Amino acid sequence: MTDYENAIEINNLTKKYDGFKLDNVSFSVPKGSIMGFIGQNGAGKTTTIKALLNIIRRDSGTIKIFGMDNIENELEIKENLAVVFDELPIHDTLNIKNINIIMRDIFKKWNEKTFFNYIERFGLPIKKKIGQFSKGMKMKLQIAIALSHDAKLLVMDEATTGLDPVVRNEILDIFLEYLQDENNSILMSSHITTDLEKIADSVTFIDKGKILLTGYKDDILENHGIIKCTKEEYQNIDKSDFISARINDFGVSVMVNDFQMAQRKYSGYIAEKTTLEEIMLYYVNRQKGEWS
Amino acid sequence: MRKGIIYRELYLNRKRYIVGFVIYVAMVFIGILVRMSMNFGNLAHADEEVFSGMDVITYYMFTLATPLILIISFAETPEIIFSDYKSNWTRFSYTFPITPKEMALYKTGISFTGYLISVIISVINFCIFCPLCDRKFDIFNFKIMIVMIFCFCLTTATEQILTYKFKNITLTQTVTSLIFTVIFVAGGGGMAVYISKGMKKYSVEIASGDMSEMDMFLEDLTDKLQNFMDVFVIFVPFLIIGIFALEYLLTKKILDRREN
Repeated sequence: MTDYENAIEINNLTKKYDGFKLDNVSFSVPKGSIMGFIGQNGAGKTTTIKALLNIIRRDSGTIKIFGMDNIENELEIKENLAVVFDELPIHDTLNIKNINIIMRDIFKKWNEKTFFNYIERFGLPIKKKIGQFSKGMKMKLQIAIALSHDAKLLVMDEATTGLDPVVRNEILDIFLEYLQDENNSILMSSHITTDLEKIADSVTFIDKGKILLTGYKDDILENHGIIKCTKEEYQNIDKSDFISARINDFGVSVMVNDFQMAQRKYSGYIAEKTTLEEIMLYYVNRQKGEWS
Repeated sequence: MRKGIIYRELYLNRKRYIVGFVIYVAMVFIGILVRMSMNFGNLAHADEEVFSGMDVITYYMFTLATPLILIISFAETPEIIFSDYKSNWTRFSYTFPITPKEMALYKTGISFTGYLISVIISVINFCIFCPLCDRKFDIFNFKIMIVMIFCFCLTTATEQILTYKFKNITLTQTVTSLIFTVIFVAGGGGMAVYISKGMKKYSVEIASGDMSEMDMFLEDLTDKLQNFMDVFVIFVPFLIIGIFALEYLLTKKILDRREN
């Protein structure tokens, strides 16, 4: 592999389905970083990941992984890439020993020692059929498989969804460990924004097939904020200053995307820092303008 | 060579292989016991009708039923392909550094090897059991066995391709049944039309009780079928190779297209 700056580079990716369009999606994941890919169900996260992995054919646009075209250099890319899906994609009748035998011939750099180290660390039974594993155990097994062939990029599609907080934390720690090697990168799609808030360096937010936000997480959190006011005060807020406004019986919460400016402009109002989850909520409702 | 992929296919099919082999051994064992009894035991003293009945049953069991069991057990079934979709293994395999060409080659190769093994065992089986049943090498039955192997090969190949296409086992089996019902009805119907035409042609002779013309017609029909079978059997190996080649190409095309 040649030297590359971004582990993933997607430009103007378009894919049309009946009733859904992935519309000119562009973002990049810098080498050595973890990007959170956020969006509600059906926003286009999985479609983007499928196009990235060449599981579906794109209509237009370019996708580069490790600086190489994802179709032309598919085999070289996939030797260095690992994918974790929301469900373990392996037959229930197999056990861990079987999986090791299968995988060691699929990936050139498969490392049995690393694999069994993870298995031991996760406390997974070697001879038990994986059909008898819990959801958490299955996810840990999938992560063990993903991290045992020296992959430089880890792509996760809703991998932590449905897991309890203890297992999720354990898994997030493993990802941070994996990122200790600065050549490794992660693209993590999820709608559990709290996980991403903990570990992501950058965030891309997709809604209805379009990218709404992409950038460093800290910048996004710094630039966005909530202005709280009464319904009367709300009338004084310039509509071009906010994303959307949440109105309830107690008042109005307005999401702004230039928090410093908003704090200066609306100095008498309560200004609060925001979270990725709130940003997602307010952006999803941006077309309504006002919502409750 | 991706031994892991081959290992996985064999491991997932292991129960079918074991069950098929056990049934095969049990049938052969029971058949041998019956033949031994017919030669040296109680059945040797049985009346002629029972004896000849047992003779025919064991003979067909050895030469046609056991090969069928082997072919069924060794052939790749749509259940495995379907469970690959159901468990998302197919999607997972798209993330491997393996080309669709290589994947299709393994799948077709495993299926073809299964056929080859079952055909070889069936032929050996045939050569051993013909003399054991006090018969010479029965070329007619051998041809039937070859045609049977071809038909089963055609059916499973169709099923496999349709499973990739529909990703639904019920739909696959329904469409496969429909296709072969149409073929069967067309073939049987054609034959019935041909015979009824002959009956019409010789209706006067049949009505007068003179069956010689009709017998000649039927004899001619049997000869034609025999001749067709003689030629067809020569082409069967090429047709089977053709089916597998087509299966490989279609599997590759389907895997290459991936998901929509």
